[in-house]
Amino acid sequence: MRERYEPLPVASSVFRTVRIGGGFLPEGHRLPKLEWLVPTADDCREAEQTGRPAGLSVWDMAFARHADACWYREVDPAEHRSFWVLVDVVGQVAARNRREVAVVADPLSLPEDDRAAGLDPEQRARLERAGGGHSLIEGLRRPEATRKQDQRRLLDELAHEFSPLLDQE
Amino acid sequence: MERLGPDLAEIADRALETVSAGRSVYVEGPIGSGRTSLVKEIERRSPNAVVVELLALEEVDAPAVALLETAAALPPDGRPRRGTGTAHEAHASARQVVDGLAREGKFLVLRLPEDWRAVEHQPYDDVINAIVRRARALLDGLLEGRAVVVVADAAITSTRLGFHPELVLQLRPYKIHLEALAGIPWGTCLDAYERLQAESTDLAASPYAWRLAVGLVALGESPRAAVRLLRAEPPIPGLVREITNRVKARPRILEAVTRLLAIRRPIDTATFSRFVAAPPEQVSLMTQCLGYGAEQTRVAPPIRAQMRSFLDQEERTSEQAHEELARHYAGLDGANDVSTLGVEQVRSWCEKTHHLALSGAAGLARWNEQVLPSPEFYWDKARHLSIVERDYSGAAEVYRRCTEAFPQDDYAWHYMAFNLQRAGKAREGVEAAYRKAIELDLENPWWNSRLVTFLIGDAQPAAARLEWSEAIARVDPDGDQLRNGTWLAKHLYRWVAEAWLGAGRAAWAVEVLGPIPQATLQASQPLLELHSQASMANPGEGRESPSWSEFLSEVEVRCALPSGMGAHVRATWAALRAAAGPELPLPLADRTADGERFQFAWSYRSVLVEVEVHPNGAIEWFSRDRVSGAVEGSDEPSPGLPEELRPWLDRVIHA
Repeated sequence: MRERYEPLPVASSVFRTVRIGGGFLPEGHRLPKLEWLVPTADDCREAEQTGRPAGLSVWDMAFARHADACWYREVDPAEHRSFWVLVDVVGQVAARNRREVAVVADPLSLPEDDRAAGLDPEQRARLERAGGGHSLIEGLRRPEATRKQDQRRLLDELAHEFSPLLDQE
Repeated sequence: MERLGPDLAEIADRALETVSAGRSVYVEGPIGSGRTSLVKEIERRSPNAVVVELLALEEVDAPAVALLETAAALPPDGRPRRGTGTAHEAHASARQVVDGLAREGKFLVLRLPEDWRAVEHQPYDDVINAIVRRARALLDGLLEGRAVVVVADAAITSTRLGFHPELVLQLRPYKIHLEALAGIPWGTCLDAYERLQAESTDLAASPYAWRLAVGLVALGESPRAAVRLLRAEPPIPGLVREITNRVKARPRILEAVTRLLAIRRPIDTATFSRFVAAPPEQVSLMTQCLGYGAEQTRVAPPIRAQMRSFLDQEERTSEQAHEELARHYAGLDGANDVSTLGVEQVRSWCEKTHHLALSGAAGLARWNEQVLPSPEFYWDKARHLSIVERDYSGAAEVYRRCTEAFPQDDYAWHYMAFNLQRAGKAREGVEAAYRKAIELDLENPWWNSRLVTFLIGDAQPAAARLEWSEAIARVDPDGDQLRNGTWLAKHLYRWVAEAWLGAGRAAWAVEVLGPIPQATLQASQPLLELHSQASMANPGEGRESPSWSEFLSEVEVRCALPSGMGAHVRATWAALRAAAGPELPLPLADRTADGERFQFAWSYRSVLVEVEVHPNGAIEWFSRDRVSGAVEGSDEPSPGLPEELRPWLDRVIHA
């Protein structure tokens, strides 16, 4: 298990899981949306508690699959979609935009609840491993001194580097 | 020969007499009319007969296998060599083979399964479906100019095939009473046979229908119900359906049936039984009811096809079973290269290669060792990977290898692109392969429509629109095909219009459907409904997509917006529509990630535009030219749509 906030190796790949629903999503648009790469209000609140930059929840593909991420978040995999990116590329985009962005480990433990109690040993082992792959992309929240347009440019360049995750199950 | 009905000896006489005089013969008859017996009789009497039993056309490799088997009757140096793999070459090769047979004093006896009725008489270049095109090219080559004997299912007339033989014979439907089949070794089905016989003393049916009925009774159906099915015309589909339903409920028998359905050719009975591996009490069901034959057991192609159609995807033959069959045939062909093999070995090689293609990882290495003489053998494997295993990367790789071996194979180029796309591979490779397929077959409506819909889905609407114009210019520049029926509208226009609708561009969908004559629309319910949907969603007619209107009317709930904000969102949309006009496509729309605003966004390859609505109705916006990188937008929210935004909305329309 990685140490919390330990930087991921640059050769790693991480994926972001987003909900396809609630909003309106016609076909023929290039995804992911920029908004899917913006730390949510919950992400920001957690950052205030930890004292770290707001982090965007992502998962290391070497540890977790789309379905694992959905299990942890208690959401329906069919209503969510994942997009992946190379950690090294995240760094390159950040550098071009003169921003400090880091991809760090944020391992999760299996919750102590009824769902986990109902897992068979193989499922349990797989999900424990997947939890170890939970990570954060820190630094994507707009610093106050940064113009909104520069922030959107960063996110747009970053979104361009994401690709749909093939295993959406 | 045992006389069981029609005088096959006399028919064989007439056929041989005619073909010996250099004239062609066409014999047609339904299942059980004696076609197999007739072919055997001709073969027995004439050592110059080259008998080729075509595989059902549902088998991807059917035309290629037919050509190989026919050519195998010639010395290796007289056979066609592997070339471009095109249908044109298949036609020329077939001619070469038939001419070669004639020089050797041989003649062809071609056994046609029922589903070859799809190979209608038309120039093969006009046939869109690649497999049917090759079948047409093959038949054109085999049937032109030389005396042949064609034995076909009654559903196929010679005229439909474009074949004009000097002699046409019909085998009458052959119906018997069940007691005439008392000599069949019914084994564990004997009780079923006897009970059925007691219930059906006055009934006559074809031998195969009786076999199936006995099998159905052996599976637990009442003889009375079986007799009802026998009285239907035709009886076989109902019998097969009921047998399949009963088999599906019994896993061990289902397993055996899925193995049986993998067998494409007559196979020696001992191997048949061993391979099918039915429970002992069901062996007779397999060998005497579903299959038939004394030394060699076969399953009639229509029975195979019908049973497979009634089974679900997960009830298909296992890879392991295919691998076992591959090993059986590998013991008979002894080679990786078919080019010098004799007739029986060619048949075995084709079966081996087919089953290796479907045997997954276990057969992959050996499949890779085979020297594949034509594209269909690659298609066979690639289609299995794509359709059954959903291994799109693997399928794309096989198609890629096919394009290396046969660079003019438009089918392989197109489906390489299709599978690359499904596998999420780099879009440049996908687009290039789609374009290559069109380059090789300019007028193919499917290749053209898929490129356009790919570009739409790839967030390149302007490129898609341009490509659509060029597609029409290639496929139907004068609109003749569109006026002459519904086919082109259904296979070209429909897909593109649906894609535009899905992309929120109803005005462009209406534009695509515009040239379709009203009579064509009326003749096709799906087209009529599509036209109606597009019209109802067309902002050019003062409307919006119903799903979009519904979303806007419920946006407060759908996006958990604060009270009163929904009205601002709807007002902003109305302003955007008024500013940009009916061609403005529907946006991505949702609350922002921080929950503080509502956002409309258009995200295409060339441009991004975001318009955000604050709770008080103020607007912020951001745009980026994704080609040059230039950005523009507001630093602070302001009331109403700013003028600077309008050119960007135009760019969204023409992205």
